[in-house]
Amino acid sequence: MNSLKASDIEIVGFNGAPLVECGRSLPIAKRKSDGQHCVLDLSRGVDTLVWHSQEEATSFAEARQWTELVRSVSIPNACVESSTGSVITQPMMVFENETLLDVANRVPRPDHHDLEYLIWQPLKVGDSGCFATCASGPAVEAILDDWAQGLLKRFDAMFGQNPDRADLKRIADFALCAARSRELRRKAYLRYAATQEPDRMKRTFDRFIHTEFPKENWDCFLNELKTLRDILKVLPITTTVTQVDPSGCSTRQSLRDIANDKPLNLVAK
Amino acid sequence: MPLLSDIDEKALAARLPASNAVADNVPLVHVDRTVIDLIEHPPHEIPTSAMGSNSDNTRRAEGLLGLPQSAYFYAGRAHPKFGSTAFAFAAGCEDAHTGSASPFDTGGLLSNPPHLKLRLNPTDGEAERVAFGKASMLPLDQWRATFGRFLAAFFDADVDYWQKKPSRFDPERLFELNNDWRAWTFEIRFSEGHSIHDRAAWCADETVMSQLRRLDDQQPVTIPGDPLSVLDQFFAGPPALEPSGTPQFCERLEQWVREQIAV
Amino acid sequence: MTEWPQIFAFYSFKGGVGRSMAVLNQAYGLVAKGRNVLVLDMDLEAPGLSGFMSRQKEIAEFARHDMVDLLLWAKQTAQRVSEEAPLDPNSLPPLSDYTVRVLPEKLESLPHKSWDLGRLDVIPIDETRDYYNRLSEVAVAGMDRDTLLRVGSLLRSWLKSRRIPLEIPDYYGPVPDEDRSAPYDYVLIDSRTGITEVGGLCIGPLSDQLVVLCGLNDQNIEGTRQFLTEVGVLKPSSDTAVPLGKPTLFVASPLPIGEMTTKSERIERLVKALGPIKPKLYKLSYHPQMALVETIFVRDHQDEHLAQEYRSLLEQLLQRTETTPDFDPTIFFSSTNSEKTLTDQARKSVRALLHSASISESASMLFFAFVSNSDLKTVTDDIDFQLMDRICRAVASSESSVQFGALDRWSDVLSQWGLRTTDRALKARRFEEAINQLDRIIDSPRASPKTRAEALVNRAVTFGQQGNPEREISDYTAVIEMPDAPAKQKAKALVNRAFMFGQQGNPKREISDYTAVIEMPDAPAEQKAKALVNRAFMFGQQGNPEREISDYTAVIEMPDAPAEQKATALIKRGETFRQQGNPERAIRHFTSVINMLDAPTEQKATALIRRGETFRQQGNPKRAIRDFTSVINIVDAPTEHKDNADSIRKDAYEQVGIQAEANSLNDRGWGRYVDGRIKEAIADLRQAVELDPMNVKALGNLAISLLVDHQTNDALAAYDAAIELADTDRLADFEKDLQRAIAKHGALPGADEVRTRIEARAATLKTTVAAQ
Repeated sequence: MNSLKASDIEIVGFNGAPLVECGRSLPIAKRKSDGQHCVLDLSRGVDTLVWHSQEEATSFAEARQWTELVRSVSIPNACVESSTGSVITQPMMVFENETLLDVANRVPRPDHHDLEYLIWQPLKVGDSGCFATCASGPAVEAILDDWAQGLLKRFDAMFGQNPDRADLKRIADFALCAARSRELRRKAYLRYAATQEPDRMKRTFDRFIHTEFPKENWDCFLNELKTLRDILKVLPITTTVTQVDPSGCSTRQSLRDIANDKPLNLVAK
Repeated sequence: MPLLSDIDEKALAARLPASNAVADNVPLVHVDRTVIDLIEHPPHEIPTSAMGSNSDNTRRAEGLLGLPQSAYFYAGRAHPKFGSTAFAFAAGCEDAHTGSASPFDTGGLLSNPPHLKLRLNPTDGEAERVAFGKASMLPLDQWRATFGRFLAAFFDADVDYWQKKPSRFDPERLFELNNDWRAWTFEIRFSEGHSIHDRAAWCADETVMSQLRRLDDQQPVTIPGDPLSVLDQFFAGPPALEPSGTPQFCERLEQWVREQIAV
Repeated sequence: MTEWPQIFAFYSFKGGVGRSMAVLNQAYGLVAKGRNVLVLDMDLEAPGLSGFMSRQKEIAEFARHDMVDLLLWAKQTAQRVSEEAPLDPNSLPPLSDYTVRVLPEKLESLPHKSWDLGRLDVIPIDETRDYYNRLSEVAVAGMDRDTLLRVGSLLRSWLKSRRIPLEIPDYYGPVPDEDRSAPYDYVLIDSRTGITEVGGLCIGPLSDQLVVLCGLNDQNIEGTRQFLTEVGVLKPSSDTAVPLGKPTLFVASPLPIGEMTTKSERIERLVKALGPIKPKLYKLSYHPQMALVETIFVRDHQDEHLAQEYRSLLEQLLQRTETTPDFDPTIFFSSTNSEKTLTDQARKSVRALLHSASISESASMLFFAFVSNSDLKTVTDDIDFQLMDRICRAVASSESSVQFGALDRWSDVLSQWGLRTTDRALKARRFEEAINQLDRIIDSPRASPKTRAEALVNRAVTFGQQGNPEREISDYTAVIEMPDAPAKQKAKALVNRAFMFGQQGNPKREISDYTAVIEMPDAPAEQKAKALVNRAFMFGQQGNPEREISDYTAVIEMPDAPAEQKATALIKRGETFRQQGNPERAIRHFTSVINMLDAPTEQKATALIRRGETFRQQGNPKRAIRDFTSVINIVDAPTEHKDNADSIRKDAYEQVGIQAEANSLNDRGWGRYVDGRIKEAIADLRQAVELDPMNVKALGNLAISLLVDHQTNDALAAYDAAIELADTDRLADFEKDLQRAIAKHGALPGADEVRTRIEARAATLKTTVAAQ
């Protein structure tokens, strides 16, 4: 059986297109010796890789079947056997945009995972603000899960503030784009469902949650949802400050010496 | 037909019954860019090349071979470079269609430059390839029989069609010269589109599943008694194969295909 | 210590004084200085700034939410939180929900020198989306003092806690999280005119500093004075106010251009009304362009007087906010620890200086003090390489007289950095960048032939470090074939290319290149010497010792040959003499190197080892041990040499032990010979010689004993061995012993032959000494 040498190939993009704010996909590898490209899927062995010419690769990118990086990256060391230089485990691509990282409180993007250094490259698709990197499969999953955790934390913090339902749903949706582990996906689905109008909740359950978690039962799920809502509404502990009736204050009175007022510390450190 | 010339019929006969069973039942597979486009835009079908979803190579091949603009399927095989969503349609879906089939990827045969290598006489020029392509064409109602003979003649086991190169070579050296499995994958063409609701199974990558979730969120809930929306109809059909959304969606769908035909 | 971002509120009592455009021109000006800026449009009922940005397509679209939504969030949240029960920071809304980035192409034509442009974001007001209903819901006008305070405090906390990602080059390797994101540097707020709650919100706890624009008519002057007095920016006194409290810049705007009496009088009146203004009253002149089409003057009309006035205002704004650290070059020499790395304090100083580089020229000074003087081989920390990279980037991006030097050094930094890492991807990227910088020199039309040739040679070396021999050779060839390349670079290229040919197993081309250098009339001595030494080595490999020695001799006799090459040549020639059986001459060569004042330590160590080895071969292990011990004691001798010396010294110690025993046997044997116990003497002496074959005394004694015992053949063999090792004095001893033996025992067979051999050897030694 042939082997694939890491030094022979470079990663030039990923399969598919960045149609959501983050995700993972199979890498597109380019062979340095002859410029041939392939979707680097090692699940069926190196011999089954289908190689395409540069012209084909360009047409795939133009058709948005493949997404190219502005600059190629190397196969991560974690996927390479050091003694032979052969690629022995499946590398994966992870992509993200700045908006998701901001919402997840994960600015800046990580530059390493464990001992794997991550080189992020912008994508060639216009001004998407998207970046992608190549890492080992477990590293990609861990990175995505970390973003999901940040998103879920924000969701839980905002839930009790009575924010806009659409804003919350967006955060939960982002979390579903990111979360890879079953546990996190389940948490994200609970929260996603919690933001749905009641008449849509069952549909969401039937079409997505039950498909992914076939052992889930609607009634149990509903109970969990109620419990979650109660918990989230309790957090964080805030008191409602009595509003001062403004009817007695003129603008001038409100502004007197305001330039010298010290700011209040209203946000926890 | 050039592929099955000079074959030892006795050797073929031993494998033929099993191969025919596979051929009779192998689902047709289509990989598309994304199911969202197909759901959002009528007629909600696997489109023909008239809809513009196929490459220039496809249209070029159609023109040279005298084929109508067609919807394309592979016999049992999925390749990710064609998109992010893979559909499988049960054997017999072709009964309602007109069309034809070929024992290889016609786009690769006649692309410029050609992606499939082979040796034709007297030279490997475009005219010779066109002639070869035309001579290799199979009627839609007979391609499965040929496929069965092909499996029996060129593979030591039927499952090798999904995993290995053919173990015997053809006179045109198509199998010898190419490592790209599109060189020996049967291509089936319908002159009309085929409804996505008719699928037997499907699988997509994670990005597509997220998009589908967003599409679902945008659609209002159907009031009981009202006609079902296209999305309702879609979800009424088979759900995505587990795991729901995977980067290796082609591999997953092929695994399902092999399970159906027990190879 | 400055708390970032610094929030500036721009206020004017009346509209039409150019406040919004002042905000934008300051913002763009800050971005041109490499600052990251956020602009807030808080002129809620007349969002002129937002309209401009949208109409002029400075921004592509609006975000999900706008300034009105942000205020609504702040208002609703303010009702629920307190200092006792503060807000969970995780629930602060994300920045990206509100901000819109100004398109990069809109910033590219801003004048910027040695640094990258900053980032400009805006939180505009979206009038297209249910604007009036949302405005009603916010109802700032209805906010009381306490609410204003809370809303302002929340907004301030939100602004101060936001972080934006910094673009870090992908070849940096891991960078601490706190260095990969940063808060904005500045937030500029376009406030509302008049006496309004929005104005109070902006002027209150939300902002750190104020910029107040005021026209020159009485309405403006009086209104501004009254408002600022009421809000506490000015302290009321009898007829003028006195500034206090929040730092405030005052700007008279718009002013007619040119000198006129009325203008001066009005300015005086304004100054009197506002009290003593420090440092001065700034002015923004009327410009007809502004009356017709609002414009970013600092970008689109850089030579206009108004652009200059904006820049002047900007300088003041920066000076009030950013303190330029004092630059002390000695931090690079005194602030290092024993490992010669920068201390954390020094690194902080460098970072601070780099941040301020856009308003001073400290980048160039940093470059010369830190980067160009550093021995890159001693730099190990990524942090220091990153700092050097940033400094080089700043200096190299301007077309100054030092640009090429900075690019060259930058390439050096990147190459060395690449050598440090084991991560393949990082290594490849750093070498790629190193080559990119040299490409910039090579491709520049301003580069002189010398500069281009140097860059080509350096690029070749970098290709070599990258493991790309074909391109390495190609670059050397380019220099060699360049008609106007200086001799120094040509010679270096030839020497290096020759070495590459040698690596590729092409000795013919290797020697040819060395010869080309040697015969080049104006080749520098250093390259000539290297070429001679290397060519000599090749001749030696080819079994041509005459030419080998000739080349070494040429180097030794070259007056200006560098010490390193001279020392190498002496060592190599010494080795050749040793191989030729001339250990004395070899020792003299090695001694020359040892005594050479400017010989590099490595060569001295090598010479000591070679001399020690020669002493050992001569049967003088004690002197050998001294030499090996000297190597071990040289502080900065290469470890490899020390280990080698230590190993051979162990053998020498063994040899000394053996020698002692051999000497003892020799003494006993001689004693027995003198006593006439010849057979016993022979036994002892044979043992001695077996132990120490180089023991010339024992050999000689054995020889005469065998001769006396009539074992003529064995005696002659022993004499051959002894005579070979003997010096002149020893030969004389052999002659005396022979005479005594003959005198005692009579004629001895073989004695004449022995005498002949002794005389022949003596003559040879005499000739050799004469030749030397």
